[in-house]
Amino acid sequence: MSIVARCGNCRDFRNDPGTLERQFYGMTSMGSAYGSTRGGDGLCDRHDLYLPANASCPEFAPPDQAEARAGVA
Amino acid sequence: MSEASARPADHEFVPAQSSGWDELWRKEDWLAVWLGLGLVALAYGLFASGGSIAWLAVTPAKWSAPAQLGTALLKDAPRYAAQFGLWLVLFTGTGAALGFRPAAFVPSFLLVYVLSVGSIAAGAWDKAQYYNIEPPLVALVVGLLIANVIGYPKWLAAGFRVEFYVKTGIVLLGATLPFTLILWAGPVAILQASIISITTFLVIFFVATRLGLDRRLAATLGAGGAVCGVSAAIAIAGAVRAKKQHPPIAITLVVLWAIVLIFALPLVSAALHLPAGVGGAWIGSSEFADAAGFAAAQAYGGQAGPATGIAGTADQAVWSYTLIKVVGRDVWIGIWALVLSIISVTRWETKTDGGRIDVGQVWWRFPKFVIGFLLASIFITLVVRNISFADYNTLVKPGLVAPITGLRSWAFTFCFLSIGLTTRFRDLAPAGGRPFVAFTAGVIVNVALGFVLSVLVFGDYWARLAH
Repeated sequence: MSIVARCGNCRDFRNDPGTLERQFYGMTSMGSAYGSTRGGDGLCDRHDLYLPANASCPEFAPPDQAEARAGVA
Repeated sequence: MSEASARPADHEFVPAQSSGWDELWRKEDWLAVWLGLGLVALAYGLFASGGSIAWLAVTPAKWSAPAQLGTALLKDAPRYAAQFGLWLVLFTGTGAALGFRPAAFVPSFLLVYVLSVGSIAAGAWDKAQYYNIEPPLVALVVGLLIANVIGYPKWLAAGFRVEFYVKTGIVLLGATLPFTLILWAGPVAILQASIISITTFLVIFFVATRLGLDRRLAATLGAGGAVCGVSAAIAIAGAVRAKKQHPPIAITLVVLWAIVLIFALPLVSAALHLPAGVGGAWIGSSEFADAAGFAAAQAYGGQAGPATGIAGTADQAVWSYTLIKVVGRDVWIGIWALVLSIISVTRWETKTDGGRIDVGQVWWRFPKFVIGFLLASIFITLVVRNISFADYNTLVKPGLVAPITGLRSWAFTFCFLSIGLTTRFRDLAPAGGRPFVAFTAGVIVNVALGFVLSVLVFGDYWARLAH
């Protein structure tokens, strides 16, 4: 089964609500990572961006295929 | 989910399933809807069968001496215990659905509840109004002192869920706000809020870009100041594919200014003797986050009365605030995200090629708790539609509406305490001078324009709200 090459499936993408609330201190003061407005947005550790889960880039790497990015890293 | 492709991709792409059915029990917004509507249904069920939820919706009564308060609290101890049990079961259960461990949530919520009893009791002192002791501000200050002076272990934060409590409170608020009033005042609220939101966003964005800030940061800051605070900043940061360090900058500025305005707006409104509805409208126009605004609006509404000379009722302040903030500003976040994502994808390059504009975000970013708010309002409005004014005042109000208002006050107090408890100033990210200047420019324009529209242009309208 092929994995769709989008950020939400990439090993460099983190959008777990708990992780985001720890990363963005103060978010819980008047906001929440568990709410609807955030959608599935998360952090790309490769490009240091905060972006939607359905974004994509040529450097996509599935979680269990670290070697998949070897040619472009 | 519809989607428009702005740029072809060179690899397989399938739209993300951002909004599946599991959102109904995995997202805070929907859980708040179920919880709030469940309480409204329970209250109505008891009322319709000849009883009332009033026994559970107990709040400290007016007192003049500490001994009197102590006696009343002891007398009502079983009611408080039952109410605590109800909240604990509801919030622990829904918290577990979000992934919070009950072992951490229970002691945390116990602390929130005990401090809430103290905050509401402080506001029930018969001289509280004279000394401007308002429960929302007491709760906020107590929370801030604990977080910044005393401290607490990290695990204890599990129950300090500002947004969850405020969303639940907003759904309950819907049951106390006639739907006819939403229809009557909604268009003006949307007009006023739109003027303010668009102007504020443009001011912050213009100043920020003139100061040389990245356009994505400028948009994130602009949304934080113009729409709904931290939630908007986070949503827009994602939509425009902001840098990782952008959201914390916006969060810091929103939180700091929101806390300043929680105290400043009611203070200035009181100094000017603005009617409660007008003060609420100004707060709804000029506060950023829902939770912060409710603290300010409820605090100001609590000052209304002959003793202060502030015309109107506490409800009017909360209602006008809600109409402008929730109906006028919050619900448009998806549209803001869509428009800015189009601009970002077509005009602002990033390292990702994610050049797809997801029209579906208008729905999946929509603050779903607003649906619960509207449903609760429609339900209660239908229930009382054939009841005479006299019967409403003698039967429905004390037996149904007032207890729901009481439960709403508890939910909001949990929220106000949690704002303080989760705000440790020293841990906020440094914002930097230029973002501060840009955001502050937006705050100044927002507050001034909000005053002009709420007081000078639509003042009569908001003062007459619900008359």
